[in-house]
Amino acid sequence: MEKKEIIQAVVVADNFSECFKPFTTFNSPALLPLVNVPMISYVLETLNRNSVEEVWIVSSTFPEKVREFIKRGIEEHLTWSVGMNVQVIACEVRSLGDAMRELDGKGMIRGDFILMNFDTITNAKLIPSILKAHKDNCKRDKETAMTVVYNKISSGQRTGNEVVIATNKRTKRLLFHQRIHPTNKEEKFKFPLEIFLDNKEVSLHHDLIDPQIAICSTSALPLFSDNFDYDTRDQFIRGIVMDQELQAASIYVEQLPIDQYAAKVSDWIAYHTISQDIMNRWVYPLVPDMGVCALKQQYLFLKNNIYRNNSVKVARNCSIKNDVVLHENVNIGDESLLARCVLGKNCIVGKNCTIRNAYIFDNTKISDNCKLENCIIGASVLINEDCTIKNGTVITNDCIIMKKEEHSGSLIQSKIPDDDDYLQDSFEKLNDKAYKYIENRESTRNDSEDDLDDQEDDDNDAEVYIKLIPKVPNYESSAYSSETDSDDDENDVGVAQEDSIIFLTEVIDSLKRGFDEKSNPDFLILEINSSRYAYNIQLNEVNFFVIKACFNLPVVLDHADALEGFKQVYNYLGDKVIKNYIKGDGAMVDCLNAIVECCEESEKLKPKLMKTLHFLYNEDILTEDIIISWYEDIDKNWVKVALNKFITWLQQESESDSE
Amino acid sequence: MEFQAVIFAAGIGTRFRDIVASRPKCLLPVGSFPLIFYPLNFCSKYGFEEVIIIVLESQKTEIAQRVSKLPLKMKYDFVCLNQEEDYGTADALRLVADRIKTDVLLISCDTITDVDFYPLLNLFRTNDASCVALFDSGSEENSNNIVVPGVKAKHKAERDLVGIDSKNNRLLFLASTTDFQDNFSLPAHLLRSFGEVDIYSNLTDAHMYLIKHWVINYISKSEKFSTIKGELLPFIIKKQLSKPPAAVTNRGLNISEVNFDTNDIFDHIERAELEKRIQETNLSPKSYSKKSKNSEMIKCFAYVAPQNSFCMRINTILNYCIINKKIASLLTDFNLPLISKNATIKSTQITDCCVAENCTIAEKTSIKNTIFGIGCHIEQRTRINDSILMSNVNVEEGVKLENCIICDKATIKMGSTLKNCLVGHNFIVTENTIKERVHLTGEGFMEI
Repeated sequence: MEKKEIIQAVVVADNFSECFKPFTTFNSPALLPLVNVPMISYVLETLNRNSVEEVWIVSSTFPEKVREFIKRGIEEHLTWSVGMNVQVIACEVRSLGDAMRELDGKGMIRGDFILMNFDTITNAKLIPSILKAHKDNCKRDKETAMTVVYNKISSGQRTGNEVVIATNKRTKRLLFHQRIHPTNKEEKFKFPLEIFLDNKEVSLHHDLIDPQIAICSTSALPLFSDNFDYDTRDQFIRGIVMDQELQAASIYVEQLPIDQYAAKVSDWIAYHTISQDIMNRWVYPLVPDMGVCALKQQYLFLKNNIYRNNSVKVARNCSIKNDVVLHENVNIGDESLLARCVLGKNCIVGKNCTIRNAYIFDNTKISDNCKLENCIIGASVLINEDCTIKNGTVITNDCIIMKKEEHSGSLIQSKIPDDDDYLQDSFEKLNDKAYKYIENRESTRNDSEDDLDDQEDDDNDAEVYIKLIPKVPNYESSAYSSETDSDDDENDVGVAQEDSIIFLTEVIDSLKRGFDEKSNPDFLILEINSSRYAYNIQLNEVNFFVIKACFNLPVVLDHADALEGFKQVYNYLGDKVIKNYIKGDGAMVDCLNAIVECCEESEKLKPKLMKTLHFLYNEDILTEDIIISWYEDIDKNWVKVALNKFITWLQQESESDSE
Repeated sequence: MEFQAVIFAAGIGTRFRDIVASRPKCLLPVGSFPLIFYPLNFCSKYGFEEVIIIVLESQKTEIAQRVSKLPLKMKYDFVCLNQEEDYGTADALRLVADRIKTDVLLISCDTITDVDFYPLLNLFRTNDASCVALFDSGSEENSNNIVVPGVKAKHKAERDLVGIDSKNNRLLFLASTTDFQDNFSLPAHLLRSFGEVDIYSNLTDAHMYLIKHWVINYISKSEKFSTIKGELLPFIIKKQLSKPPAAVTNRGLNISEVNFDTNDIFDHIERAELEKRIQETNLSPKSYSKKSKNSEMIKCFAYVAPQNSFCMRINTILNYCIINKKIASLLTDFNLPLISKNATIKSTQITDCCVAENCTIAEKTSIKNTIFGIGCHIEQRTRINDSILMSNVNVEEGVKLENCIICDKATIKMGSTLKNCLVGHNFIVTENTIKERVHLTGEGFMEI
């Protein structure tokens, strides 16, 4: 008897970005409520409706909370748990690529599987039509690695999820892939001429978004394992599409039918639009009154898209306009006005409040005469009387906002994240339970505002538009450190362990060979990355060792003037290799520490410390802020002395700049 | 009269001079007729009663004479181009602009097709198109397995990139692959406005266009175009998405200030009063959006010949060979005779051949898939397969020809055997010559 094939799915419960910070500092992004339901429920629900039988959730931020949620869901027989086996894999990964490599190592995937992210909200019917299309692709082309599913949109939308692709019109094989930058307006799109010469009929699409749904063959996982540099889905797709000969793998494209919805909650703006889409029933059957997650009916569906729990108490003379979700025990006072908003359990709204385009999580109390527009308010927040909160303000759990405060476009947390010491200064204390994040972001701010204006011109829904803070408040020490923090609390990069010594010699060898043979720097990065995995080196250590290796190349050591030697190395490796590793504030600190250590090891280099830093500063590898703050923290006397002049100069520079 | 027809017959066949030589290209024998017969036949089939034919002055008499003998009932209006000057197709069109009073069908004399004209016409009529061009997708499949006589060099096709909106056949882009180096770049606004664009590299322009009258007016005023396909068509396609200059709308106000030397394409668009009114009063939200407002003014469409039809331009030796292999079935479809009435054929083994007037084919010959031009003389005991013999060719006793092209007035002497050869004009192949894959011309044996 032939064994029936089980349909498997993998859900990645992290978005590897900081867009939902600071909510993600105390909870998994997958559990962020979207219309009062943890976001991952939508994906689970969708998979269940697609008769998936086995789901693997890969989680790295707060996996225990995800596991707890799944466990409770199964105990309570939530709708998605029926007939579907859900397992959580907790592992420390910092990218989708890592997650896939982890899965490949575990060897639990036996056949084609659906790959989705927790933040994809869709009612797509993947089975049978799209799965069948994938199987047909596999049958025709043994090298099929993935069938990606895109969704058609009306043109002109820019959320950062739009793609420009070229496919073979007949086979739908993906030939070109480019993500559209959310703020740029391109003059021209460039495609390699080959694809038109090799394929007689090519379709170019500019009307698709990538909701991050894919059907993968078993061959997709080893591809991730073989290529350490594939971190994101885009890198994977581009890697395969751009060097088809190299990889012997191919990707195909399917489009969802026009009546099916799919979108990715990629940031707060998308969060807003998708919440509205859910309330407007575009994602039917995933709508509040159908009980996503829970088996009982939680809401009554009233006209103007008002969803109301039975226990809600609404004062007689308040006005509830349209697109409103009110969860259990919500209490709304006299003369309040609500439109396009979501209120979680036990929320209390006082008298004469106006709430528009706002998302308020459980147990929050809003006192009288408050005005809330275009904002996200976390759980258990207390907002006292007469406050105005607007323009994309995000307030996280447990904050208290005092009377008559006004917040516009700010980020407020109940406490300062304790992992970033040197960033203490970027928070302004409002009270014991409210710290406002301050950012030097004039430039980025202006850019994004200009862009928002453009968008407002384009769609007439300007009022709906939430103006939100820039997506990445850059107070992380480096892009990857949040996952690796636990391992390097003391920043113990100076302690060379055995593995790291071998790693360092490997890197020196790679760079030396690369430098002598002038080979492609991209390959050097690959080599370094693969040694990194072989010796299990943390990212900040990689940064450290790469810089150290640069100074330990024979060219530098043998040169009479060590800095001149380094400049030669930099000319060749700088743009590709060094810039690849030294990006972000944490990486710069790693770089500085590495240089200091090199100086300590080499008497020749030691007098050149200042000049070296100056050179790297001029090359934009290091920024003045980081050098200055690093200088203030350092406790080595000789460094203080050697750099004194340079730092003074830098400070003057920055002062004159700001004037 | 809704349409006038113009046939371009002044080409000199630069791509295959070897076989065209001194004769007018449009008189090259294809099947039992000259090349120009086929576009004329197309016009006649769809009810045109009068055709403007553009010819070179020196060739006019010869062409007129030949055309008048064709079994078609149409009125021909010959327009002569001065031999000395180098005319492009758009230049030629400018010369006949004053004779054109309506929308116009332009066909090159080397286009042979059995495409149904009506879908093309419907595209033009229903969309109020400025221009509809016919494209053919099948030429590459045809060219497989064909050995071009005499030429050893590999045939390298000129390929175009044609961009068509997948939803409504809008022609959005036209360029040659040679215009690009490594990257093909497409204006971003094109993709933004249309969402999905199909780029074809297998289509060839069949040189059959339906064009609005105002376009003719425009080129008659504008000297900057020399060819239709190379310059005019890409220009119009590009203009589809651009805005009319502001001066057009303001003209009534400041007529003295408008500079009339700038011959803008938008000044020439003829639109009926009713259409303007419809446009103005249209309440559909689409007409208000920025994109569609302008694109309504100039619209180009592409009609891709369906797979089951035949469409080809005879401008290379390769295509000339292909068409002659297919012509027998094509002529049958057109209900035209393969063998002329006053040919003298004594052979009993003659299959799938076209024989023009005044040919004599002796008995005891075996002939297959071969085209005979006017006045060929074939003697006994010859065997001819898959070949093309132009006019007045003499083939003597015992000759064997396989896949050869024999040009005008050439003579193949007794006992010769030629395979895959091209024999030039007036050339005499000496007795018992045995050759394969060579080009034989007046300058003696010349290998290419």
